[in-house]
Amino acid sequence: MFIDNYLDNSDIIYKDIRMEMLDHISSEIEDRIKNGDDRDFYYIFKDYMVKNKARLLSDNKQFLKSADRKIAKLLFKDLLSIHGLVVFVVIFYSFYMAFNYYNYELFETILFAVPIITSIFFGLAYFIALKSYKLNRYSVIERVAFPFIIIFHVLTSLNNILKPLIDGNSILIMIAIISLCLTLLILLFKITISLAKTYQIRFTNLV
Amino acid sequence: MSNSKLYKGSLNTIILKLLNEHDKMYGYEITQKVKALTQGELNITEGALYPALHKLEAEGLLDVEVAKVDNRLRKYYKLTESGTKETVNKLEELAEYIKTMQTLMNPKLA
Repeated sequence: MFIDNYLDNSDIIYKDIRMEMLDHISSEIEDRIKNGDDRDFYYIFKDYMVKNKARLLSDNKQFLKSADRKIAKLLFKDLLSIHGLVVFVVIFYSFYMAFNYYNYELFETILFAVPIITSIFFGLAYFIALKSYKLNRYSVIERVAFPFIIIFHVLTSLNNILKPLIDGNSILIMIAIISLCLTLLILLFKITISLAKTYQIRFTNLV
Repeated sequence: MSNSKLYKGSLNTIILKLLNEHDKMYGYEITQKVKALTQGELNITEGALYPALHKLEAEGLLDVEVAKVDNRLRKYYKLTESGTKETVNKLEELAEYIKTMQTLMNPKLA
């Protein structure tokens, strides 16, 4: 508990990262005691931290990079898979049908509103799930919010900047871009659920 | 990693090789195993080991298992199927590298 609090106060906020560091430090201290260091635990720990704290904090940053890399890899793998391509084609085709069916102004509203509303819905579902499954403060689970936020900002920027510039010629390109964003959003949501399940099994059931 | 920058490029291979020989290992265990095998010559620091482990995990070469040990959680790493294949490739690469270096450093023995 003492080491855990120390690491938490040293800005190692994610439980899974802290857990691994805590095990490493505890194992090292136990080994030192086993090898004849008869000083109080606190002094052995202090010695260890004086020597290794900077390295541990840098490891924390590296861990976050690995978490981002893991999410990006899962996302692109899913996007290039058959089901990712199917989702994209279905979304693109649905928008294209709506383009032919509704008048231009109504279609334009649908094209921009649907993904933004979807991303808000997914965002809310994500935060509720974090709370109810007690998965907040786990590195990969929290970092998955980052691409969510990026996609949301891309969608709102498209809405604010490009919407007024679209004409009949560029509408298909815009449908493709928005379909891609919506596909990424859906795949990201699927990845989040799968990661949450993995973390639930891996960590929270043991605590 | 402590002693030499030369070891740095081989860290992933060292990890994969050790995990190939053991069912599963945790971070501290890996550092101690390397230290014991090299009789203290090679000392892998946590600052080098954990980023490498996490990178290999992110690449899908390692799988993770968490268990409660001595009232704390311990993260074990083990090879995935693609990790096992990658180990073979990495070991072949390393053997080739050692052979080339030997040829360069000591042409008479080659």
